[in-house]
Order: sequence, then C-alpha cells, then structure tokens
Amino acid sequence: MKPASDLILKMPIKDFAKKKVCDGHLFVPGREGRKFYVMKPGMYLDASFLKKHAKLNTVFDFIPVTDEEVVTDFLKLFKELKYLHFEKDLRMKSGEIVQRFQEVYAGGEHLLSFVLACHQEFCGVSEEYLSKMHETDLHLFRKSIYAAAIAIVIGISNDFYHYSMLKDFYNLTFALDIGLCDKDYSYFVAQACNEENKRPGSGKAWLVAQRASQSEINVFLSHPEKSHGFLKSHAHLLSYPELAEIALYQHELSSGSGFPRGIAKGQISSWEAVVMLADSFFEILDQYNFEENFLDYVAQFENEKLTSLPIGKVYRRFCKTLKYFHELSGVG
Amino acid sequence: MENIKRALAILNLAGDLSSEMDLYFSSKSISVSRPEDELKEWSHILVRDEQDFEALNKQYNILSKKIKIISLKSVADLKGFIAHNGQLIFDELWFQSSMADFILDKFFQEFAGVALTDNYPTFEEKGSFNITNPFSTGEYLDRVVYHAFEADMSGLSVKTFFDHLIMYLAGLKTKNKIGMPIEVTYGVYNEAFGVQLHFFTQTLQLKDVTSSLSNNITKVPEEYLLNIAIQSSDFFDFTYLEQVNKAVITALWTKDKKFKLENRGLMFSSLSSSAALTSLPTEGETSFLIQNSINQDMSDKINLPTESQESESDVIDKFTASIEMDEIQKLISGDLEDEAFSQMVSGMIDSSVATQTIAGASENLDDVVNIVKGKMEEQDDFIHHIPGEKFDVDKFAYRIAADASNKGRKDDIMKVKSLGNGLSENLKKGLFDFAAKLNKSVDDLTEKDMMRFKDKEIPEILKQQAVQARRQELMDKVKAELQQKLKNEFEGGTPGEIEAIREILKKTIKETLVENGADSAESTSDKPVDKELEKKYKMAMMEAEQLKTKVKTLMSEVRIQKEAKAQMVEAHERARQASMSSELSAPLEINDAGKSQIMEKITAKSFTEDDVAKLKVMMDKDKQTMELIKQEGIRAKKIQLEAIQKETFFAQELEKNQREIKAKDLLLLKAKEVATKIMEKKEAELTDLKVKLEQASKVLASGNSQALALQLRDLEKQNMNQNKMLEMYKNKITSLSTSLESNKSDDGNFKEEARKLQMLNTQMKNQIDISKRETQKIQDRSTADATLILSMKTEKVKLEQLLKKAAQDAPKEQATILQLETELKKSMSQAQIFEGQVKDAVTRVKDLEQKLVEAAKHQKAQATGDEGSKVKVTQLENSLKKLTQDLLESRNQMAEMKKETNKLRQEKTAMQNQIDKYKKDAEKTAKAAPSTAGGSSADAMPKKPGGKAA
Repeated sequence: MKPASDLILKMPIKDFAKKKVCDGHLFVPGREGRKFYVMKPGMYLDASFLKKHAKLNTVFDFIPVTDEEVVTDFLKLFKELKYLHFEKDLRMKSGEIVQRFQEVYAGGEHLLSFVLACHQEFCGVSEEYLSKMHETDLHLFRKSIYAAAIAIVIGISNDFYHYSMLKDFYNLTFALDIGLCDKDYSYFVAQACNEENKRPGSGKAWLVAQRASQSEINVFLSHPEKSHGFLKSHAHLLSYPELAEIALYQHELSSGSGFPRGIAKGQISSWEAVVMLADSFFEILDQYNFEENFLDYVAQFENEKLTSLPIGKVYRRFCKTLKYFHELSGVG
Repeated sequence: MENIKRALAILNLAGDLSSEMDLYFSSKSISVSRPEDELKEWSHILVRDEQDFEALNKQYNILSKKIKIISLKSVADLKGFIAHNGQLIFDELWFQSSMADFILDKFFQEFAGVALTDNYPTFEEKGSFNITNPFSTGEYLDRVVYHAFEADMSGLSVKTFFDHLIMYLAGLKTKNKIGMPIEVTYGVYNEAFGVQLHFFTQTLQLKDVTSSLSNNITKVPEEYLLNIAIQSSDFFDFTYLEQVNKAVITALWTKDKKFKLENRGLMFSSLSSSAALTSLPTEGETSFLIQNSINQDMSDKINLPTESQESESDVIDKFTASIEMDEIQKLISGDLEDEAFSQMVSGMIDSSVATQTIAGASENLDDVVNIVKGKMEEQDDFIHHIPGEKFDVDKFAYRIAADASNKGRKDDIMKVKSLGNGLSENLKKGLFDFAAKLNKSVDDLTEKDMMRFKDKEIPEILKQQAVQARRQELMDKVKAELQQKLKNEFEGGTPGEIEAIREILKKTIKETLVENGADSAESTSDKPVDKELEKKYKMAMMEAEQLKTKVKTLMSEVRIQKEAKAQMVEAHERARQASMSSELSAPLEINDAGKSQIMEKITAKSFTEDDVAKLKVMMDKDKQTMELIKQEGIRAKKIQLEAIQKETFFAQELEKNQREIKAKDLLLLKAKEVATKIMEKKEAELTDLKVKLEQASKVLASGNSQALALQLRDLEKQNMNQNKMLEMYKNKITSLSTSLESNKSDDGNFKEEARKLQMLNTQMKNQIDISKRETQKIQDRSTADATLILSMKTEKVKLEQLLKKAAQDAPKEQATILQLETELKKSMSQAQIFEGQVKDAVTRVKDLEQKLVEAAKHQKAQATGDEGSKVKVTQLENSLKKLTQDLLESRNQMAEMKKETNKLRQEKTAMQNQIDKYKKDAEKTAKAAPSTAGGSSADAMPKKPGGKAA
C-alpha cells in the first residue's frame, strides 16, 4: 500500500465522530511501533467501528489524502448552482465546476476531494442503507461513492446543468448496486460484477463457469430490479421519480442481449447512458490505481466496453468537454 | 432494411395507386388486394378521401382485428382517424421527395429509436440538447432555428412546431403523463430537416393526444396546441416504445415547395419491440457547454409574402418548362382585354396584398437615404432633369447634391443622398408621372399637390397593383392546373405529344379564366358598382392613411433634395467663378458657358449635331462618374464589413486571451501559495534544526566530556546493534517479499484450490444431509423396535403368568417351561443389549452431526476470509483434511451401524419367531393341561358311569 503523503497525523477517535467517509489511510498503532492498516480512503465509517474505538479511546495514525480547500471550493460551486434558474447561468456555473475539476485533477490531486464534496452535497441515501452496503462488501460503498461523483461531471458534459437533475444522477448511480445487498451475496457475486464490468455480458457466464450456486446467480441477475425497487420505494431521493427506471438499464447492452430486459438498440436515452458510463468506470475492488491520475484513466478508457454498451456518445462528449477545459485552462 | 419483418396484407380501398406506390409494394413483396378478392385477413387498409371511420370499423372490424388504416389523403377528422387505429397519412406526392421510402420503411418495418439517427438512420445529427424546464428553452430553440435556416428550411415552421409541442408536453407533465427530461435531437438529410423529441411516459392515453387536436383556434390554447404543432410540420411522427415506456415525436420539413398543407403526412405508431438500424456518423456530439452561442441575426430569412414571391419561382415541371411564359400571356391577352380583366377581378382586391406591398417602405429616413462619397471636381457632371422625358428612377436615386455639413470640413468630399429602395416602385413612378402631368418636376411639387396625389392618385395606383397581383395569381393557378392535367394525361412527354399538350394548355387556360370570370361576375352582380367602388375607395383610403408617413418621408426627402440642389448650385457657381479664367483644353470639352448654351438650346428646342455630340459627351461623363461613385460606395461598404468582422474577431481573440491569462493567473496564484507553504515548512524545519544545534552546542560547551564520551560509546554500540538488527530485518523483509511474490504467483492456484475446497464443502454438506436423513430413518426404526420390545415384554409377562398356571396345573411340563424361561431370559437380555446398541448408535449419530456442523461453520468462516492469504489456505486444507477424516469415520460408523441394525433386525425376527413358537407351545400346553389335570373334576364323571373310583 502506497501512502498518499509522508504526513502522518495522530488522530483521536473523537475527530472521526462527524465524518461519514474515511478521507485518508487509517492505521491502528500496535505494539513495538507496529501499525495495522484498518481503512482505505473512501470507505464508510460505520457506527459500530466508531463505537468500538470510542470505547478503546483509540488514537489512529492517519495519512490524509484530501484537500479541505478543494472540498470547500466544490461545495461552494454546488451551492451557487443550486440557486440558479436561467439556462445560461446554469451552463456557466456548470462550466465552472467542470473547469475546476479539470484544473484540480490535472495537477494529480486525489479524486476523493471531489467525491467527498459530491457526497456531502447530493447524497440522500439513509445511514441504514449506507451501513448495509458497507456490511455487504467493504468496497461496495467505496465503488458507489466514486461512481456517483463522476456521474455529476458526465452529466454536466452532456448538457444536464440543473442542480436537481445532477442530484438525481448522484443518487441513482449511488443506488445502482444497492440491490446486491443480499444474504446470498458473496465474493463470487462481486467478481461476477467486475467481470461484467470488464467484458459486458460475461457476468453470468463467469458465475456458471465457476459453478456458483443458483442463489448467487440470482443475486447477480436480479440486482438491477432490486435497486429499481429500492428507488421506487424511496421516491424522495429523486426530483424526477420516473428516472428510477434508469436502475433497470445498468446492464443493458448495445446488442440488445443485456439483462434484465434485453432492450433493443437505440432505445437508451442520454440520461441513462450518463449513469451507465459512471458505473462502468469503477469495479468492486480493493484498490483503484487511478485515484491520483483520474484524467489519464478516463482518456485511456476506450476499450470494448464502448462498443458493447450504448454509452459511446456520452463518453465522447465527456472526453471532449474535459479536453476543452483542459485546453482552455492551459494546464499540463 | 430491404426485408419486411412479417408478411403484410393490405386491403386497397383507395382505388388506383400511383406507379411509385405500386412499385414500392411490389419491391417489398407486400400483397395488395381489393375487397372483391378472396383474402379476408388484412394487416392494413388503404383509404383515400375516407371520413367515416366508424363505418369502416363496422365493415372490417378494424379495432378488434387491429388493422391499421393508411390514408393517402389528408384527413379532416383527425380525432376519428386516430381513434380508429389510423396510423399513417401519406400523400403520394411524397414519392417525389427522398423521404418517401424511409417513411414507408419505418412504418412497415417498425423500427424506431430515441435518437434521430436511430429513428431516421440517414439523417446527419446536427445537435442535441435536454429540456428540464419547458419554460427555459429559448436559447436551444434559437440554435435549432438557426440550423434550419442554415439548411435553407423554414425556420419559422420549426419554431412554431417546437413552441407548441413543448407547451403541449408541459401540459402533459402537469397531468403527470410524462416525465422529464426531454431529449431533443435535430439533423438534416438531403433536402429534409428533422427535429426529434423523446421522453418517459407510462400512462399516456389516446385521449391525451386527441384532446389537443382541435382544428379551431379558441381561447384555450391547450385544445389545439398539438394540432398547430402537426400543422407546422411537413411530416409528423408519433411513436410509442412500449418496452422502455418512451414516446418519440419526430417532425420533418422539406425544402420542396410542392408540399402544401394538404400533402402533410402523419404517423402514429406503438411499437412493442422495435428493430434498429445502423446510423450515420453524427456531428452533434459536442456538448452545449463548450459551444459558442449563436447570436446571428437571421431576420433576412423571414420574408413576408409579396406578389413577387408567388410568381415565376413556383411549380414548373418538365412539361410546362417547354412552354414559354409569353405564350401563356399571349393566350390570356388574346382572350380578354386588360380592362375586362380588371373588371373581372375588381371585387377581389385583397387589402392585405396592398398593405404588404407598401409595408416594405417603412424604413426611417436615415435608412432611405444612402450616403456615398464623391469628389467636388465631379460636380461639373451634374445631371439635369429634362422635363417631359420619362424619369429614370435609378438616376434620380443617385442624383448628386453637395452636403452642406461636410462642406466646411472637407472641401473635396461631399455626401450624396438619394431615395431608398424600400419605397414601392409603383408609387415612385406614380409620383413622377403625377408631377409630369402637372408640368412640374418632383422637386417643385407643393404640399397641395402632394395632398392631391395622396387622395386621388394613390388609390388608383393601388388598384392597378392589385389587378396585376390577381393576374399573376391567376396565371399561377393556370400553370398549376395545367401541370396536374398534363401529369394525368401523359406519362412520358415525348415530342410527338407536344401538340396535344398545347391543346390541353389552351383549353385549361380558357376554362380557368371563364371559371374565374363567372365567379367574379356572380360576385359583382350581387353588389352595385358604386358600392364596390366605394368599398375599394375606402380600402385605398385606409392604405393611404398608412402611407401618410411614407408620403411625409417622401416630402422631407424632396425638401432635402431641394436644399441639396441649392447648395449644389451655389457650389457650382463658386466653382464656375473660380474657373472663369481657365480656357477650354479640348474642342469637345464643355465648360459652364457651353452648358448654359446647351441649356438655352434645350429650352428653345433648337439642336445642332454638335450640341447632340456635346450632350452625349456630357451624358457619358455623368455615367462614368455614377459608376465611380457606385464602386466607391461598394468599396466603402466592403471596408466597413471587413472592419466589423475584424472587430468581432479581435474581440473573440481578446476574450480568449483574457481567459487564458485568467487561467494562468490562477495557476500562478496556486503555485505561489504552494511555494509559500513549502517555504514556511522549510523555514520551520530550519528553525527546529537551529534550535537543536544550539542545544547541542550548549551541551558541548557545558563540558563533562568524559561522561559524554562514555555516552557516545554506548550510543555507538547501540547504533551498531541497531544496524545489525536492521540488516537482519532487511534480510527478513527480502525473504518475506520473495515469498510474497511467490505467493502472488501462486495466487491463481490458491484461488483454484479455494474453489475446489468450496466445492468439497458443498459436497460434504450434501452428504451430511444424506446422513441426517439416514439417521432419522434409523431413529424411526429404533423407536418402532422399542415399541415392539415393549409389546414383547407384555406378552412375556402374560406368558409367565400362563406358564405359572401351567406349572401349577401340569408339573410334568416343568422342564420344558424352565427351558422356555431360560430362553426368554436370553431373549430379554438380547433385547436389552439391542436397546443399548440402538442408543449408542443414536448418540454416535448426534456426535457426528455436531462435528459436521462445527466443520461446516469452520469452513464457512474460512471461506469468507481473505482468499489471497496462504495461511488461510493451509488452514482450510487442514480443516478439509480433518473434515474428510471425520467424514470417513462417520461413513464407517454409519456402515457399522447399518450392519448392526441389520443384525438386530435378524435377531429380532428370530426372537419374534421364537416367541410365536413359544406362544403356540404355551397355548398347546394350556389346552392340554385341562384334559389331564382337570380330569378329576365332575365333568369326567358322566363319561365313565360304570367305572371304578380312583
């Protein structure tokens, strides 16, 4: 594990009380100066963890990866966007957000700063479900929080400037994998999701080849519908409740052979593609190599996913927008 | 695209189809039958001019059989049409455009998509945007309209369509029938322009569509919003995609002016699952976010209808093209005199035509007056207006007059003012003619004259203008009808048929003119001529009122010209005085004196040949000057335009540079901040080090060097030890890292092993289940055995009682009974042993189950752990071994138990047999006992009456 910086802070547990997401590398000091790595940046700080260490009055060794200034900057921009009404103003403010994103991440900043700002501003999913995701898989929450944040930038790049629409994109992308929270969820289901992400349409075949149980296959195949059910029953999360349908499209393919519906080509709208693209950037993994050079990762993303998923147009717009602001800012 | 998805059968109630339509159906293998044909199952019905769709439904069960109606003509009752499964209105005129095959393919093959390029694959997408707020679409719409105008389409129709449709959709949103956002894509294909919108909808019903299709414009716009949107497009397509709950609305426009309101197309379809086609690459992939907004004024694309617009540019096809326009005009003039023609249309003057004709001249005086630059020396070539001759408007327009305002500043440059182009030519001409009538020049007209002109002449001019417009309209009508008739009569148009065509032409023209003449006669016969004239006069007066301002403009212009002329004359005079001394350079060169002579001759009307030559020279020179002035004017305009363009370009560049500077400033600021932070950090480190150094120097300075030396030695020793330790740990770390790497390489194998272990675990689980079932069976059997033993015990007790009795009654049988008793005891003890064995088996099974459960738990706990860890894998392997051993043991135990159970069963059956046997024996003995022991009873006495007593 490579620490983000050499700065190691002593952080008492009480300092974590207000945090919901771990914003750095967290170690518990052991005997003889040894350290035990307990948490990665972007993981959920659940109540039981905090309670346990509050009893022990633990003082953690902490390596921060985020920049408080960047987080505040983005929060300010989001707040300003919230109270705008005219298309031109909205577009200009959205442009500022993308430009700031471009400037910050061209400089090798950790992606988590933007992610935290988005989570703080847009997340409407209750604590209960957040901890449920964390309990299901330590990396599921982390994957969702990253994907949801990127959905904001992709949304803006594709001419969705309204605050309410961006908020919906965030919560939709975040809740896409909430259907995986099942008692039959296992390591194999997570791997199947990752396989599906790498090679769209291969998830089920991978599970069958690994002789996974039927219940595991069911968890994998039914999670879009379960997520859709969750969003339907939590309509307050969305300003446009009909957008809950998007959860059903997350594993549809350009060929019409995806699941659960097998929707024919040409019927996926751009708002669905925004969420699909954001989701396809991240896997349920222990470590993301692109956390500190996200823009390079985006530029190199062109692979078979783009031909298999109906996201080509949205992706190209996203890249063009980032490139445009890159050229505009003169960074790099 | 060439293959139709399923066999289609069309019932043709539309009569004869066009050759293109026939060709389309035959090329797609679609069978078209007539009502009299045998086939009674149709997928579509073709109609033309059908309005009673209810009757059609009754006759052919359209709704129950889900037959789709296609109308080849526009439908008046759109509501009824759609309500009776009317899905396509397609005029055969569409075959003359490139869109016909697409539309029909789309309809019959049922393909659709949410993007324009999916729905109409040959379209090249020009752009797209999303609507979240229906009341904030102005900028997007401007862009669409701009693209429409750029493609030479009617941007106004696009604007009308979009505005009304968006408001209709807003109404549906209020009713919770549709969801936001709405995605809009637009593009072009050949001569067609398309706009497509799509959105979520789950509960949209037919009545939601039909309720907004009213033909009447009422005070409630919601009733006709959709109708206006439909009417604004050349082709309107409404498709509902059931699979994704989305509705797609497409509107198409074509450049072709053949398409009128009555040829408008319409398609309503609901697709359960649609096919999709490969689309062309698109242009519109750039986000709106990074596009520059379009602020271009496209007002010049909006032309209000005028008579000139409806003239020659209209419909002329290959037949009419061969006929000269003059021929038609001759035909018309040959049949009817101008006056008669004028009377014929007198009742039909369209006031709006006149209004619009004059409305073009509404510019300000500043716009009317064109300014060009000229030089003072050219004032010699002043044009003199010759009264009595026809006034040349163009020459008048550029008549030169020196501008007094510029005179002082730049003596060699003067401004030239003229009449604008905006004022109607007829009115200008009329004014000049009027002046000529009064033997005056226009400049000399008084206010009174102008009032007379306004009151009398203008209405007359307008009347003549209207007559001309009507004549043009009639000519167009004749042409259109002629074209239609020729089309119906002739297909090829070979040269041999030209005579026949000419005949038809003449006939049609006569018929049309007579028809129109009759109409007008009827209309004029109803009203007296005076009234008609009065009406016309009133209309003209109204127009004249509107023209008042124009006349005022004209008057002020005349005034300006008068002033200019006076100034010119003055300048001229001064110039003449200045050049009084100079001589003539050439014999034909005309000086002012010569000019005045010529002027005198003109007034006296006594011209010589020399005078004519001089005049010619004068005129030529004037012309040249005019040309020069014109060119100068054009050049000035060009320079002005270039300057504007450069200015905008520079402004853009400036803005761009400013942005770059801003971005660089930001970067610099950030870099500065970072640098200052680093500097601060370094400074802090430096101060720390300084403090430490000072402390160390203080300690050194304080003496006690021996103690320090000792401490130093100790520290060195410690350091050595630490170094050794460090090396040792380094070695350890390298060995660990190598092992870790090897572990990593084996990671795949471990995973495979883990997978196998998982499989074994599931197999074991299954075996545990099987063993549980078997145990359950054994338990059941053992309980059955226990009940049997109990029953046997009770029987034994009974038998003992019987034996006791028997023993009492028959002492001879004691030996056998004793034997039986011992055997019974044996069986009892065997039964007890059997019971004990069963109990042992049950406890063993329970233990085994417990072990298996523990093992399963252990296995599960291991499975959830980190697969990557080798330690855990080895643990798993060990636990697996343990489990397999346990399993083997349990299997053996099970086998033993089974054997024992079988043995016990056998013993039990043997016992049962023995017991049965004993029972029988016991019964036998019981039966035998009364005959011997009971013989002493009184029952035996009668058998031996004469016997001896014992």
